[in-house]
Amino acid sequence: MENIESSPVAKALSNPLILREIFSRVDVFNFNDELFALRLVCKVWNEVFVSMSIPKIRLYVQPKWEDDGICDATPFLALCINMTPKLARSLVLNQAEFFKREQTMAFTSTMIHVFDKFTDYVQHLEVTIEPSLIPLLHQMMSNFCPNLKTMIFEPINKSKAGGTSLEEVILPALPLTTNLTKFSINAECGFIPTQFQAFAQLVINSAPNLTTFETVPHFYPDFSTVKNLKILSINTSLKQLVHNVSASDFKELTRMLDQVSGTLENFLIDGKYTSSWKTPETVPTAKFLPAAGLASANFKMPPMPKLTTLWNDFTEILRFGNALEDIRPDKMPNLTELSLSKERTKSRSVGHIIRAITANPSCVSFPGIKKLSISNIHHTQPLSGLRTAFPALETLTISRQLESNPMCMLRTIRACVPLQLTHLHLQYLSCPKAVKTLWKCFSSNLIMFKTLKTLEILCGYYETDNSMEDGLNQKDLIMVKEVLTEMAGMISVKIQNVKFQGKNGQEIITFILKNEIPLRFI
Amino acid sequence: MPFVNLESSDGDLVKVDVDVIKCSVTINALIEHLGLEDDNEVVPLQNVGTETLHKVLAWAKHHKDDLPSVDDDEDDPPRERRTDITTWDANFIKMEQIQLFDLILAANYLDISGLLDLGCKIVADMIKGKTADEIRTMFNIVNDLTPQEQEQIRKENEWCEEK
Repeated sequence: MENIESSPVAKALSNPLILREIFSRVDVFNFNDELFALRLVCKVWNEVFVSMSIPKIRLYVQPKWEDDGICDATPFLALCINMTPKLARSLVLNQAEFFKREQTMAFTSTMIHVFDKFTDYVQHLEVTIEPSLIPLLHQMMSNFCPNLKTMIFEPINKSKAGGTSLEEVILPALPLTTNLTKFSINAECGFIPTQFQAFAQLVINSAPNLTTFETVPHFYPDFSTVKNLKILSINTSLKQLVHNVSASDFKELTRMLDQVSGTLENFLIDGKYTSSWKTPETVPTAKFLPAAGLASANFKMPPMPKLTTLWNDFTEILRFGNALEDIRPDKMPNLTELSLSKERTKSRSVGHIIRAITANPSCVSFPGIKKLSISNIHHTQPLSGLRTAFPALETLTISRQLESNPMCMLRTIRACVPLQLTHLHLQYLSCPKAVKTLWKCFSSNLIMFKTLKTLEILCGYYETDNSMEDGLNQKDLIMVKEVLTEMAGMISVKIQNVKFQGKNGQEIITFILKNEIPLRFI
Repeated sequence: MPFVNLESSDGDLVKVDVDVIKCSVTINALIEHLGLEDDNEVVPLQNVGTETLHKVLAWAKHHKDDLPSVDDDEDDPPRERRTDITTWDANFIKMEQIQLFDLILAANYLDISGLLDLGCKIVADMIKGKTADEIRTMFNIVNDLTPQEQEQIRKENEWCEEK
């Protein structure tokens, strides 16, 4: 730093605590170079950046492709000679490009070298390999990585046969990795071959302090050695969930949940359509119905006394009872957050569940749930009964994605007014054609702003969806300002793709700024 | 004890409602540690000037009723960090660079996470998209990395990616 060390700028920007705070807020979406610009500023910045407790960068352990198409391990090995060891805290081993014999040899030599030289530093490991390298990975993990905290494991499936053609190798138990708390299994294709499953089970067996586990369908491991699993998620699409599904799949899922039911706090069944915004898949009725039948007969949600958060994106398959009887307060007394969706466009399962609950709230009520998220529901009518079924409800999120006949935004707002919510998020419902119509709806329901602290209205997926007419006259402007005044006491209001234009826009923005109204148009 | 006297590094005394300044972990600890019981006792703040102290108090007064922030678990980063800056905060933080860093130093010393968060977000925005040269120029920082060290960082960059 410069000689002016007494200046507040110099003092702050050489203070590691403050620099860490600043760096943790620098998000780079476009260019990797921006993060490295921080390292190139000066020694202190470089040291602080590489020492951050949550590494912001991952080191790709792999050979370099030369211009002649040959991959060479030497440049990476040379890099390691003077490499800052802390960069090895977060490693990515991805074999995807290195399949041929010479390429695999170059890849494995970088892998062996980095583990050998930086073993004590490795805390986060992301591995994407083909089955032939599992014994080597097993060897690495047997001898190295004493400080491993998190691991992501993804198989490269050359065969779609579910691993039956793979050579079976019996691997011994791994040594205890007591620092490993998070283990994720990814599989884009939706299943992992048996040899990978065997290795993943060994990792779990070696990690008694595991608290978070992510898996894919058909792999529900044994958790008898894990003492305190808190977060469990299953990530899949509907097609993957029902593919070759059998009774034993749902029995195994039930068995796994039974094992962790005493400690689990979050259970998330994430659908790729709902949670990852992928295009919905068409699953023929001939495949869907048998799967739903098997689930109904073989899956049973066990009581979970510590569960606080439950997301179920597959209500058409895993129903938890017709009116959520399996998750009622006597079975899940600490449940505060519930999210319900469905992945099959033809299904009406979410609406059926909400209707079943609200039709007879005296039978099933959820006094602990404060946060409710409902995706892909088709009618607003059942919403009116939510307050009775969920007497403590504070936050309601209603989302529709690529469904046909999206639910009307205005009707949904009107249905939510009597619920006296604190937070309301309405995402991608059918929006009115004119900006004025939305604000008139607010104006007719001013009472909702008495309790609301946050409001989020998201319309359209892309900016091009913003085709709404402004069309406000002076009287309308007064009406808008009245609504804005009601919003003044809120914490935050976000409105996406519903913008005022021209002079009206300028006048309203000026009014918002002058009166410090927490509204943001996005 | 509804009020406390804060003494700035300039020697000025500022009387403040304890409820307003409860966001400062440091002041709370000092009050407890010094065993202050009546309104006339003084908490010395050797690292905070009068002008900055008034700014800190203005921020604290506005955020008096905010819910206490939940500390991030270092090993468990939140899925989404709050990136919004309210209109009030945006207007409040419009100041000269020296004042901004004075405020950040004060927030760090007084351990006021919300104010430190705000100041660091602004600095992060200032840095975003800039080259190392531009950052050095903006903050008057001397490059003390040797050419060899810079070359090594550039090489490492080829194998790294943002998480």
